[in-house]
This record gives sequence, structure tokens and C-alpha cells, in this order.
Amino acid sequence: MTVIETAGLTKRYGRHLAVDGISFAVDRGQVFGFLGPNGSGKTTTIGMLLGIISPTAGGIRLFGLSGYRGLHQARQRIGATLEAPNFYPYLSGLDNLRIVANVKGVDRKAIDEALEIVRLRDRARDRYQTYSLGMKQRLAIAATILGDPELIILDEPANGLDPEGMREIREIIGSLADRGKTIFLSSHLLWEVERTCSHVAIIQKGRIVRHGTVSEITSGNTTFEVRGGDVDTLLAAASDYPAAVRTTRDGDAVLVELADGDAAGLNAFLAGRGIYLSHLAPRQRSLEDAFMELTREAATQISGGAR
Amino acid sequence: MMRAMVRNEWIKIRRRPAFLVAFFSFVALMCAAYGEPFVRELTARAGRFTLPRAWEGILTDPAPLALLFGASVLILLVTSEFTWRTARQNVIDGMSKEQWFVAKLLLVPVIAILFVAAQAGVGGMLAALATDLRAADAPLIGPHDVHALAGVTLAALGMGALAFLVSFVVRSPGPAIALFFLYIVVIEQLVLVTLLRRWDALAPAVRFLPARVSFTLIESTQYYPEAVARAVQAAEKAGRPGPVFTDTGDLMTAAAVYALVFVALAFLAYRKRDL
Repeated sequence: MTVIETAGLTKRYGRHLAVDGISFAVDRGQVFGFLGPNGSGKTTTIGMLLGIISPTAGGIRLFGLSGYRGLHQARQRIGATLEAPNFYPYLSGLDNLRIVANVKGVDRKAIDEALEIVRLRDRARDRYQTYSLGMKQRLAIAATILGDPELIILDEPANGLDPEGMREIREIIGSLADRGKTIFLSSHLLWEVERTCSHVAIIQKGRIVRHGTVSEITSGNTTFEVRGGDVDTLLAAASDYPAAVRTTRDGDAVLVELADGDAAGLNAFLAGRGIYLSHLAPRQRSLEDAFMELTREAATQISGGAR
Repeated sequence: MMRAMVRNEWIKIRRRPAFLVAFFSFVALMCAAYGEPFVRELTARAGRFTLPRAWEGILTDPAPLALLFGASVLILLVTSEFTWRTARQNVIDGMSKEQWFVAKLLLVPVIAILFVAAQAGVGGMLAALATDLRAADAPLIGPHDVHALAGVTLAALGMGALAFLVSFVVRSPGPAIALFFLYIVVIEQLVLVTLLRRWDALAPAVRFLPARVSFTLIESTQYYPEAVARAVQAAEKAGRPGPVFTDTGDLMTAAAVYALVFVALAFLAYRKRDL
């Protein structure tokens, strides 16, 4: 079942086009990463999904429902937090959750369970304003999971956290995914998304430049790391290899992206040029590599189109 | 959802330090204002601060404070929801935008009644303590007093609705309070009054400007014939023309209409903008 579906979703602020006709779908049970640099339109898109920002054009379907009433009804099945955690600073974590629980119509038991999941029970009666950033993020997650929503939307949940905090958030998200929740996770921390998500969409300047499974996004031409003799000579020779799509210098090594993935062919070609390699190893393409590549290409196309 | 909205507003208000400080400061001010006549009554027994005679002063003298404290508190309670972004979070959590608006709207009568009740309650309690209740031959509260209480409450509602509108337009506590007082003191009292008085045909409209309506509704001359007689006598003594009084019913109608218009404008401003 498709949980989120957008078609040509657009938001314009005066002359600024924040979201430019994006279309994507998220199916039940997916952990969907929504990636993009700061200011790319991630939060605006989520705001439109949650009904707090009115789209300029385009359509949204949530759980197959659309229209004002349908979307309001569907949003009762969503737990979400947008940007930084938004709570009443003078209230305790518990009172803040009581407010959310009253809106969602859930009881005290659900609050206790949520506090248990995010490991905040001991500090629940302390004022929110005394919480560390990590605790605030965890309280935000507790609020989103109150009422056992089918879809959880988290906007930059690891923002500003130390490695320990990030690990905790990752574990919580992992445990929610294990419970079969559909999770829509916005982030610019690519390695976090790569570890957590099954599917991703990459947004750049308000447009989706690629979406699919993480493995689809990260797969592509195989890149090899090679070393041997003078780096400049090696770089020049590798660039001449017919199957080389891209060659880049990486410290004392050269990265060669091959269209055919034939490392032996590359080795023989370089040997023919009198370069004997001391190191030749495939390098796994990370989501970060894919992201940088896709956003760079998209930026070039967008600016080219603008000209 | 209505029950949840009321419970949530109660949680938010009763723990809010800014609200508690403002409310108890107001109560302290009322105690100070009525304390002096109370002590004088206990020592002199002149019958000036006893019920029902004291109601006139209790209901009208400190009423400007009740109106302004109430409006300021309302601005604080509403605008902080925007600065903390809890307005958007409440909607994300499952309230519709309309339900959230209604939840805030509930605060207008609650705050207005709370401050008027504190004013009347503190004054009335001290006056009751100074009154020999066994010797009292008249009812402790008369029809003029009930009329005055209704008028003051309506004035507080009108002023609260104006504060409510400003809160939804400005969405930030400091600038909203500044704009509210700028409107009352400068824009309405100086600019609009000066402009309208330049044209004879428009001069009567001055009496029906929003803040002027609320402040006229809290004057004792609107409810107490003794106060009217005193005002006429004072004018005669000073050689001034006799004072002109606006019909209290017209003022009450105007206050109610303004309250509805301000709430409607606040809703339009709220609907138009994203959270």
C-alpha cells in the first residue's frame, strides 16, 4: 500500500520556487530517506505533507486519501516532528507529552511506553528547557510515536547531536522500523541515512534528482583505487584508458571509475604504459559519493537550463 | 477534541510563569488599591467602603488595569505558541488548524473574566469584611452593580479580542504588545481622534472607536446615576458645558460587534499564513 504519494507538488514564496513540482511515493514498511542540502526544500515538502504549509500547486495523497477532510483524517495516523523539537520550554517532558497525548486521544500508559522507548523516564518530570539537545530530540521522537502511528516523519532527527546521540537516535529509528512502521526521514547526514534507510529520494533546489532503493542509488560504475609511481603520471595515463569514465586524484592514489569494471584490463593498459601498480582495489561507492555526484550534475543542469 | 483542547490550555496556563507572575501581580495591585480604603473604613467607620456602596469604585476605578493586564497576558499566551512553534506542532500532532484557533479563542473570555473576577473578587471581599453584614438593610449587590459588572466584562472582552487580533497578525510577544499599546495610545487616541474631530460629520464616530468604546464602558457614569450627578455638578462648578454620555446599550453592542469583527479578522490572518 502506498502511504505517501505526491504529484507535481509545488511551493512558491513570491519569486522563490522552494519546491518545484516533485512527485514521489513511499510504500508501507519502507524506511525512506529524504536527502538534500540545506535549503533544498526538504522541510517545505514535509510541511506540505503535514498540512502546515499550503502547496501552491500539485497533489498529496496520504494512505490513499486526498482532499481537505481526507488528508486531515489521514494525518491522524501520522506522528511527526518538523525541524527542531517544538515543545513548551517551561513544562516538563511529561506535561509536554500529556498535551500531545490529549490531542491524539491516548492514555498515560502510552506516554510511559513512549518514554521507555526513548529512555527518558528518569528525566520525564524535569523541565524541557533543562534538557540536552539529544534529550530534546528523543522527547520529540517520543511525541511522534505516541498513539502508535502508522507513519513516522522525522525531520533532521540527528541534527546537532554528538556521535553518541546520533547512535541512540539511529537505534530508536531501527527499533521502530523493526516494529513495521513506515518511516520518512529527512536528513543531510548521508552516512546516517545510508545506515538507516531502505529507500531514498535526493532533492536539490526543490527538484527530486533521483529516487530508489539505497543500493540502486549507490550502484553504478565501479571505482578502483590505484597507486604506483608518480601520481601525476599515473593520473594522466589512467585518463587515457578508454573505459575510464572519470579519474580523480585522492592523496597519493588515483581513483578510476570504469565503465566496464575490468580491473585487469586497466592494469594491463597501465603496464603497457610502463606503470606497474603497487595497489589496485575496488572502492565501494557510498551514498555520499552518489549524492555529491547527483547534486553536482543536477546543479549543472539547472544552471545550464537557467542560462 | 473540545475536552482535549480545554485540558491542554489548562496545562499550559497553570504552569506558565509569565501568566502566574502577571496574574498575581495584578491581584497584589488590587489588594494595594483596595487596602487603603479598607483600612480607613475599619478605623473611621464612615460607611464609604461598605457594600453595596463600594461596588461603584470597585468595579470601575481599577478596570483599566484589568483590561490592559488581561490583554497583555493574552498576547503573551497566544504569540508564544508561534515563537516556540508549538502552534505548528499541535497541528502536526492531530489538531486541525481551525481547532487550534478555537483553542486559543477560548482564552479570550477566560482571561477577560479571570481578571475582572480578580478585580471584583478582591475588592468585594475586602468591602464585605468592612461591612456589618447583620446591619445591612439593602441587598449587597444591586442592579446597577450587575449592569456595571456586565459592562466591564464586555469591555475586557472587546479589548481581549483586539489583543487576540494583534497576536495573530504579529505572532511575536514583544512587537505585539508594542503594537497593541501603540494603537491604543498613539494611533487611536491621538491620530484617529484628531483626524475625526476635524470633520463635524465624523466627530461622533470618535466615541465608537474600538479602544474608546472599551474605556467608556468602564466609566461609572455609564451605570450609576450618582456618578452622572457628580459629573454634571463638577462641570457646572467648573463652568464647562454639561457632559455628553453615550448610551450604554449602544456601547455594549459596539463592543460585542468589535469583538466578533476582530476575531474574524484574526481567523482570516491565521488562515492566510502558513504555520
